[in-house]
Amino acid sequence: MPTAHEVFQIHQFQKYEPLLRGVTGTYLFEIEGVGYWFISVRDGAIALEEARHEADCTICCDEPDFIDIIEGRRSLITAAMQGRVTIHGDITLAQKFHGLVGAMIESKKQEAA
Amino acid sequence: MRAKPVNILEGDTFVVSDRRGDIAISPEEAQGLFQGDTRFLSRWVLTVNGALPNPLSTDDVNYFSSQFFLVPGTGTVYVDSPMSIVRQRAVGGGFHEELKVTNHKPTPLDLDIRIEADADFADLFQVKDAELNRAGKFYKRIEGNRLVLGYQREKFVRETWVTSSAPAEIDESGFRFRVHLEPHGEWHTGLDVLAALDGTEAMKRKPKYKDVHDTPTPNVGMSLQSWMASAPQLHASWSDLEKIYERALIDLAALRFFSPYAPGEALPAAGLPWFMALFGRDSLITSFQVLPFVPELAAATIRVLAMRQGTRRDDFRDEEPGKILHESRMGEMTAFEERPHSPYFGTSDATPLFLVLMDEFERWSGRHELVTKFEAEARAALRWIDEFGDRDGDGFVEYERRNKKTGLENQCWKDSWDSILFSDGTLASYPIATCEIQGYVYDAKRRCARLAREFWGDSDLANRLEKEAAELKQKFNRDFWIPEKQFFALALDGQKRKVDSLTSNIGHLMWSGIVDEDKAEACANHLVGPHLFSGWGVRTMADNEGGYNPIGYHVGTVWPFDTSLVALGLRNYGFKKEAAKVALANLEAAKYFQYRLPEAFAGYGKDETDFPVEYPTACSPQAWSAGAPLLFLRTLLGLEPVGNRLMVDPAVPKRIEWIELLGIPGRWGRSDAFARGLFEI
Repeated sequence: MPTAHEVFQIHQFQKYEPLLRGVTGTYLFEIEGVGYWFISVRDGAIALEEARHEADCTICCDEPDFIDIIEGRRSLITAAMQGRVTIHGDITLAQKFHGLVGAMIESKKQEAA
Repeated sequence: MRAKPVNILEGDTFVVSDRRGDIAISPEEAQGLFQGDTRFLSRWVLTVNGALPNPLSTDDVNYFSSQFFLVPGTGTVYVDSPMSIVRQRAVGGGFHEELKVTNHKPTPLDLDIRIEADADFADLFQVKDAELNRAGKFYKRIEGNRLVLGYQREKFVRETWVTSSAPAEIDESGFRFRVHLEPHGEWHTGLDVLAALDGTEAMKRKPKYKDVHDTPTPNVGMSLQSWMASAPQLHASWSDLEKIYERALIDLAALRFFSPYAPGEALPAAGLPWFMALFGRDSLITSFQVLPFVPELAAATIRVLAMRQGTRRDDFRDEEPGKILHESRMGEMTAFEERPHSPYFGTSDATPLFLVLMDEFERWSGRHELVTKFEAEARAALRWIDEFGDRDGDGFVEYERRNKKTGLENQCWKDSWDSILFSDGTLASYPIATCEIQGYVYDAKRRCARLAREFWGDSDLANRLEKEAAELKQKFNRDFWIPEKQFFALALDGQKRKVDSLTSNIGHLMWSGIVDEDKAEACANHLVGPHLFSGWGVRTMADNEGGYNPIGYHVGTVWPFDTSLVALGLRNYGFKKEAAKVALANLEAAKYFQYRLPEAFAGYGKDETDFPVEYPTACSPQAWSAGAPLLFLRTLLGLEPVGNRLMVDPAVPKRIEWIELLGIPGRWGRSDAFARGLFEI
């Protein structure tokens, strides 16, 4: 299983993500005991930085849950409902992230097929 | 016969109690304080000197408040009660209850007043199915003057916080007040019950109202008074119509709630008590029904459903890229994925209906920014229709659930498991292509062709969609038509057999425009004929079919929203009198439900009963039933946007001598409609 560091390195969340077209905002991922990643989205253009800044949407969870969410084994939405993930700020952005993860997984499935 | 429960609501928070104001659950009674699909109070019982008081009168002050007038039992009707008890309750973020006891005697009274409180934190699915096995642990604690009832499963926490303004002895099962009342004296306390979603201070909220007479402020960004004033003003010779209209507008305001998925966007919950949640189909149809009256509802619906459009193939949730959601829930079973509603995508009609609404919104409002902003989502929905909706490439959209355990078997509006029946009463096999979904797809493609041409700058797509729509219409009229019965099959089943029951779905086909002109009259005759038309509305299934049951959820009952779409469909094909006939029948029925059309009522004919018979578990209020009278008005008045003007072409029966609807909003600003009743039905 990869680490959070590896996940952010591997994905790099592409420089442009069509699914985030029209979306502008900032995310802070707080991975408990591991670190902080700040992502800025401007109409689909993405910039990633390993740093802690004020963000429109903060998503906080432990590392195993984060990996499970990124790899599609756990839903961000139900994890938040269970209290495993806390989301502060703009919930709309969190859902866009959920959708983006879904699209990434879908695209991997199609590549594999 | 059980007394009807008392329901009050505010967005997705609601209380169901008995006529005393008590909450006491039993297998027969789904009472409680509910919020976010969780029951935060399952017991709330008032006793005085160890006995339950008797109800004298119960009064719904407002949609969010009620008051209960009680007296202690004296054991005989010949002895006047020495005191009275008044409970006033207002719901919103929990509830606030004022409890007042008055001594009517010239001698003092000493009373032992007790409120018993408990919470089972049951998921609404568990309440509905009466299955209350729980995986977590319950706890209770007393913090100063607060009783905390709690439930925890892993990190999932739900708490109910109860406080009293008057001093009380608090134990783990409630509050005791030892009250001394002087002659003609009075005692009162204020009780706050808070639904704390995750048990933390951060999530704590105050009850929204402190008094049952507070000014209503529904989740519509304005007071109820302003909301009512901003809607078109209706005046009619038939005063019942005015009452039905007013009731519908109030219910539409009361049902609006802020989904945690979309804070800031208030959408109507589908219906009280079972469907106080976001439903794709219900929101889309309600928004369509009320567009000429409350256009902002459609804008919110489009934005929220676009935001949660499917992006992945997920068998558990029946999700696919581009699909529009069916239902979103927040309870424990959803959180732990024992139910797929986070959200669940098991519907095949919401996706084309999303496209229909998008176009209809622009036609009425002239606001094209939504159509432009959500072009990508609209294109994804169109792709879903062709790539996932049409599973076998036969040109029709069909469904079969992938979640075999907890998914919906039928993914059309008649979504009970036994709704798609052959004329002999046997069940259709899967995958199923119901007729009305093909109509919605036809309509969606035609409408999106316009959007593509006028707003997306893509004439190639427009041409392709028009061609596909024309081909679909031709193929549909060939493959679904049953010549010997002169109506369209309800569906094609897994073996492509025509499911040959006569149902109200043919009215949806007329609404969509997919029906060939030469077949429309036969359909209209069926819709107002003796087997489908009950006299109170259009039955979901004709009464001469093998599967018909007048109290079968989708196989014989009358659904007002269904009848409202049937009426518009009839009108669209020029059957104005027939449209007026079914509209008037449903409006007449509303009088027997305190001017509030319920989710559904029984299919018994008007020749069998002088009043419409209730369906036992019908939700009321129900959003698309509240929308039905508004769509009937549009149909009767013949309201239609033509360019930047509102066309009015009334066809009103003499029963309603005259109607005026003033200040209809749209791309023309505000406009008025007047009509006189001209024909007998």
